[in-house]
Parts: sequence; C-alpha cells; structure tokens
Amino acid sequence: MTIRSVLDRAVARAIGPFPELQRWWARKAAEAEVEGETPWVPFEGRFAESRIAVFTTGGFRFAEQPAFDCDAGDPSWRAIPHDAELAELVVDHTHYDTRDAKEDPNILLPLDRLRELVDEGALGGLAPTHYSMMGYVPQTAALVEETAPEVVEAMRREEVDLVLLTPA
Amino acid sequence: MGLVQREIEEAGLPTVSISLEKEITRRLAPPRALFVRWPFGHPLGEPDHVLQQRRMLWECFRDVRERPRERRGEVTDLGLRWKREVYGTVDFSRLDR
Repeated sequence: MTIRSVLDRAVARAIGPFPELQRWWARKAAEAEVEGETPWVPFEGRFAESRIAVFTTGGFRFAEQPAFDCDAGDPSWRAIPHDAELAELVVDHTHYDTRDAKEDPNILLPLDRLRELVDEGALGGLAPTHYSMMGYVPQTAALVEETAPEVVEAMRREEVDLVLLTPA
Repeated sequence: MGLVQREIEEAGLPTVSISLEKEITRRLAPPRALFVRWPFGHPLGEPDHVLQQRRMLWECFRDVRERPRERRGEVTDLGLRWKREVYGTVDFSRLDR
C-alpha cells in the first residue's frame, strides 16, 4: 500500500457523506472527452428471452486475480463468472468508500438480483461472463483502443443482448 | 465508464447505465443513462436493500424499453432521494408487457 493510496482512501472516506464534495473531486479527476454523435442501437427483443451482461467500475476481483493498480490507474478488466459467489469478491478502489460494496457487492454488481429475475422468468439469462474494472483510469486511450474491444469481443462471443453498466 | 458504454453500443449492443455524477455523464453522453444523487459506490442503493436494488434494475430496463432514439445521450434524473425513499415491490412480469 502506497502513501498515495492511503491518502486517496482517506479522502474517499472523509468526503463519503458529502455528495457535492465527491462530485467536485470526481470532476476534477475526469478529463475524458468524446467526439461525434452518441451511438444508438434499439432494443427490439423481449427481456424474458434476453441475455444480460454487467460491466462495473467498482474494482471487484477474486483474490487469485491480479490486483488493480489504484495509484497509476488501470485500464485492465477482470472476468466475473455468472455463478460467482459474491461474498468471495475483494475490492480494489481508493476513490470511493468501499465498505458498503464489500458488505453487499449487489449495489454495484447485482448478480444476485439478476439471477432472481432469471428465476422469475423476467430475464432470459445472464451472460456467462461479467466485467469488472477499477474506475480510476487516466489511460483513456488504452481504455478505448484495448479494453473496450476486448470486452465487446467477449460479449459478442457470448451472445449478449443487453449490457448494464454501473459506476463506482 | 461512459467511454466504454459508447464503444459497446457502437459495436451493436444496446446499453444502459446508472450515473452518480451528472456533469461527467452529460459530457460523455452515453446512449442511455439514469442519474441518482447518491454517494459514490452505490449505483443500486444501499447494501442488502433488495427492493431498492430491484427498483433500480426496473428503471434501467424500463429505460431500455421506452427511451426513444431522439433522447439518446440525455441523462435522465430519476429524482430518488438517498435513504428517504420508500420502495415497494416491482412487478417484473410487466417488463415485456
């Protein structure tokens, strides 16, 4: 653990109860820009026949997977299988207060809730793989040129119909 | 995250996201985004609050079903308060209507 990550974690906890401060802090850190029109694909299927994938930037991974680099930022992702035991996940993230996420990962990675909806027949199924990143990624070029294509390829391979994204 | 969302949609898959920071999300203009003024790290709400988490999933799926193309890139404010909202059961059998 570096001094930087200790400081970031301390700031994240200290400003946790103050949403406006958090937002100011995040805006200061976020430099990403986009060009061109927002892409659009209509959803034309039935939810009861659709396969959902979740992409989260909550910083979840399994203990045996490589840790995220919270200091330098990290554009890599970890695969979380659909039948994962959420209690086994660990969280690397120094830019938000991770205590609640550790207590119940469903607040970012709602696999238990989605499995219930599949059991109820409201959703067709969960994709075999879900996607976890750590949301501090100053390397936006790598994010767009490497991470996103990898994720897209995996989603296509697994015939995903709809993607839910949740930020930390 | 908005950048990745745009790339996934660009590749042909419909996407929906929750936003905890309206200005950043506005700037990135992902296809479908629902904003809640909640603490970071809590896009679906509080730990172990099943009804709240289900409500957020319902809002996401409803947006996927109902948002028209003309409103792509807009950030919809759900107006849900933190810890002062009452959540009932949501009937997901109505999802496909």
